[in-house]
Amino acid sequence: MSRRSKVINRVLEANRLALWFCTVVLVVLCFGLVASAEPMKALIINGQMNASHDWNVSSPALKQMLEQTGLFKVDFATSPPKGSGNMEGFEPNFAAYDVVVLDYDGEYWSEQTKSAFVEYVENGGGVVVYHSADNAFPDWKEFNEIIGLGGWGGRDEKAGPYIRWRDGKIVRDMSAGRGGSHPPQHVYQVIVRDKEHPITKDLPERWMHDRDELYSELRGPAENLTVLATAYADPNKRGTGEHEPVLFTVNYGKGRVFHTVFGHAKRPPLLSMECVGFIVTLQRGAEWAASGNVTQKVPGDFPTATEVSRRKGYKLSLDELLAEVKNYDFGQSRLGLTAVSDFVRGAYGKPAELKEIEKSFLEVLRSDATYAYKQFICRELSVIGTEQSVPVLAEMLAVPEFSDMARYALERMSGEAVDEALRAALPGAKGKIKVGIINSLGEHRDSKAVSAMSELIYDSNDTIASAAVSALGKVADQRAIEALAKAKDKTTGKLKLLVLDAYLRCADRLVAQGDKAKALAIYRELSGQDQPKLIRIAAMRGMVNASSGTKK
Amino acid sequence: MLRRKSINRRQFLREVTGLAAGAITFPYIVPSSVFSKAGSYAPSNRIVMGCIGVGSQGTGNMMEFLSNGDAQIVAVCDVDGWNLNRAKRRVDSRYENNDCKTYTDFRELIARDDIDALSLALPDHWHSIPVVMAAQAGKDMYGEKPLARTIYEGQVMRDVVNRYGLIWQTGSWQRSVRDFRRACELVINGRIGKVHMVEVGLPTGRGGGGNPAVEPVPDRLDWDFWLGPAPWRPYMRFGRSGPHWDWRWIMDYSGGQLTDWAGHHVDIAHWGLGLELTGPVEIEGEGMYPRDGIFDAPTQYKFTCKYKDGLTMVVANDRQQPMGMGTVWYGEHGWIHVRRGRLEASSYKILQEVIGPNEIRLYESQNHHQNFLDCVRSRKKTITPIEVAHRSISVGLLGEIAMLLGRKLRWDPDKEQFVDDETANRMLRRSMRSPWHL
Repeated sequence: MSRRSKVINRVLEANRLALWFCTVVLVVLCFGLVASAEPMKALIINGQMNASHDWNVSSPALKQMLEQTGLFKVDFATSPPKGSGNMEGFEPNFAAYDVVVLDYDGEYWSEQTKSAFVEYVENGGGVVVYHSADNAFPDWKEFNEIIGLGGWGGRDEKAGPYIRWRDGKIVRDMSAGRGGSHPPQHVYQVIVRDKEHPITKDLPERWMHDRDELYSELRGPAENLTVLATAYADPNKRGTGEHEPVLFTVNYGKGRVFHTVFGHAKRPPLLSMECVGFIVTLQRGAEWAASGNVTQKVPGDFPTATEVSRRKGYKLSLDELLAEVKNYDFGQSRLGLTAVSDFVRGAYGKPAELKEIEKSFLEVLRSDATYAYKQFICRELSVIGTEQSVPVLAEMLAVPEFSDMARYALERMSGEAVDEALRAALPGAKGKIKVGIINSLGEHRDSKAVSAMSELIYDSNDTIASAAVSALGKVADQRAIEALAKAKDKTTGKLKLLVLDAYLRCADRLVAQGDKAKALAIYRELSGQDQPKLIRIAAMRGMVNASSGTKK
Repeated sequence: MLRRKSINRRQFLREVTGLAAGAITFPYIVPSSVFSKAGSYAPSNRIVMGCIGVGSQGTGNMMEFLSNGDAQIVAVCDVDGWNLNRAKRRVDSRYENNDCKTYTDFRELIARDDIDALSLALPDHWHSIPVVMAAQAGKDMYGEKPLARTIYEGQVMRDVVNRYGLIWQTGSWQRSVRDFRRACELVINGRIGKVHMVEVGLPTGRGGGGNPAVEPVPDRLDWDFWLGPAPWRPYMRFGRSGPHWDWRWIMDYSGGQLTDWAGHHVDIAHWGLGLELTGPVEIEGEGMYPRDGIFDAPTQYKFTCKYKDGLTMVVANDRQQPMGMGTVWYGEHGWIHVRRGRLEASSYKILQEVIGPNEIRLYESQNHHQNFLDCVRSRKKTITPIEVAHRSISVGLLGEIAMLLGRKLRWDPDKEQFVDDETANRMLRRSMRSPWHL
């Protein structure tokens, strides 16, 4: 359905009771108003891609490029991941869009989705075929008619001819051979072959395209196909020696298809996508596919016959990235999370940016997001978290499901606010949560927690008692030492051995700090005949090490 | 009978040699003749062992100890009932009895007073906790490399093992192979002159591994125990062996090929340079991480470490190393390259060099497991004591942190802290899931 007929439909529905002549007047008025006020709708199809490319890198950039024109509002239709067995549920509403951008090469869609797509194009829908999307669906006849030419996936002469530009015109080359190849990525020159087409009108006749794969030997039905531009695949660069079509259009039913082979994207830097030649032809091609016209002017930074031109920084905002992963759960693709992590990494060393990121992360923790998603956020906060995270994490400490992950973030952080939050959570906590908090306070060597820990040595719960003992051994300050000294005479059995171990650990720490006299006193105390053998030996070793100054 | 004798022997050894063992300093230059190469001991005088973790590597170690007349295995432990029963069958069939006890909780095995020594082979995230508990119970240990998942854990393990004067052998068995010792002796005795660079080539990592579905936990497996201190996740099959083996490529549990193999070839590099008790002062590098899939450890990695005296160590996956796998020292007068099954040098003359009587002789061990058992009896340090293993894996873990942060890091090898980098210092440790702690 074309944009115009859709607008008419919308208006007709809204005015079902109006008189016919009124409707006509309204249509005329509204069309003018709506077309300028409301952006056209674009849908990027992604979710699966072959191993050479990553839609999670390319799709956000495509979205940003299209929205920058001010002409489009872009949505994603992301399929289930490969092998999930859920393709039946993948039913994008193609008909609701003016243009569908294909960034997909993966499992076949359901019969229903396939026919919805074909119907959409037949009825006048626009399509942009982006780079490796033409690798998709080698055995789907209508799809190949729509994209005109395709590559790989076992394509050969049965797929259709090669399209060559020879002696100033298109040649359909039926010779046998593979469909799809490309020389190693390099910078190459593009030659515009159709100077009248709205997409290529006003572009320089020759321009340099930044480092990219030069798709070659594509094959397909190639019916109603118009070549807009070609590039010479130089044999010196391991090319075919042919002028390969790189930008072309296909008319399918009432639908308009724009096909660009540019824009290889696997991982940053995205030189091929950052090429202004790619961006501008994509933007113009999408407008043409959606509306049949191109209203955009060719920008001043368009590449020339000798110089490439690049625009950097195509990436989604953090909010957009987070929106993509809001339903993340275990067992799902991790791509969205990787994109978020990359975003964080990009901000390392920029405290102001990191604080903003942290704020967004805290919003996630406050929301009803999945456990898996919150766990991911806590991992990130363990590296970038600051005091502003403490209140939210402190609340999570008390929640059985989230306590461990809150500590995962908090324990790597330092500062009085963190310790205070841990200490404050201690009295109200029970069982495993309490043990975890004791452990974290121990790792933080929190002197202010010593009184509480000293009491917990005598807790009726063995796990809590031994955690407190171990924590005191780590804190190893004067009061911790006193508490352990007292406890060694008041405990028995296994717990007593742990107390003695923690006591020895304090002595080792004193040696490291240079307080040998105090350490030796402990070692001497523990080397007595009344102590267990293991402890006596350790104490004697400690004495020797302390006196000789031998390092561990 | 067995029990009492063993305790007496242990007490005797500790009391006689415990103090002396603490005074040993590096490098170890010990003639091999002090070690017993004697065959079997009477069962009543064997070293009584328990094996914790009897998957693939754990079974390999267990079979070594089973075939050794110095050791008597009396208990096995695993959280996977299938592994556990297989291990018991093997032990019982070796001794032709039904005596081997099985445990699913290693704490119960460690609590047995009759056990002298342990063989430990668990996933890396489970390396530190059992060592701390076993040390507090006075057990000697043969433990797998890499020593620890984080540098902090390694420090705690080193300190507790040395606090009690226990015998520790790391599974860095290349040290007990002639080619490696020979290469290190040539280097440390200056046969290629002063070394300015060493390259360490390790295997290239695996890809993303797909996104396996969440599944019900198999009956035979205690999944919560398997996860232990690591962040919780539902059960899923990491690879063909369920959770086993392929945990290696998930950073919650391991650092991938990098940390797996740093315990081998970085260890050898340090050995040849006498740098076993120190570390680099500067680390910088780049890793490639799978963007999707359950595996998230780096597949390609390359980082450069600078040491105090100007030496450079380049650690990378084999495809990014000119000489591929193994350790290559470059000195003023040539190079030496050692890897499994091959020892090469820039000139054949280097390899024909004889080490003189007054030169440095490195610790000699013909058999890594035997070396451990010998040391349990002699109370001497093993060929790969814990403080050495700690510094070997530290290089891999420092590289991991530098690559994750994507910046050059400065490291103080004495204080074992990054210099002026709070974020990097955070990454030296990880919080453990309750109730686990060190």
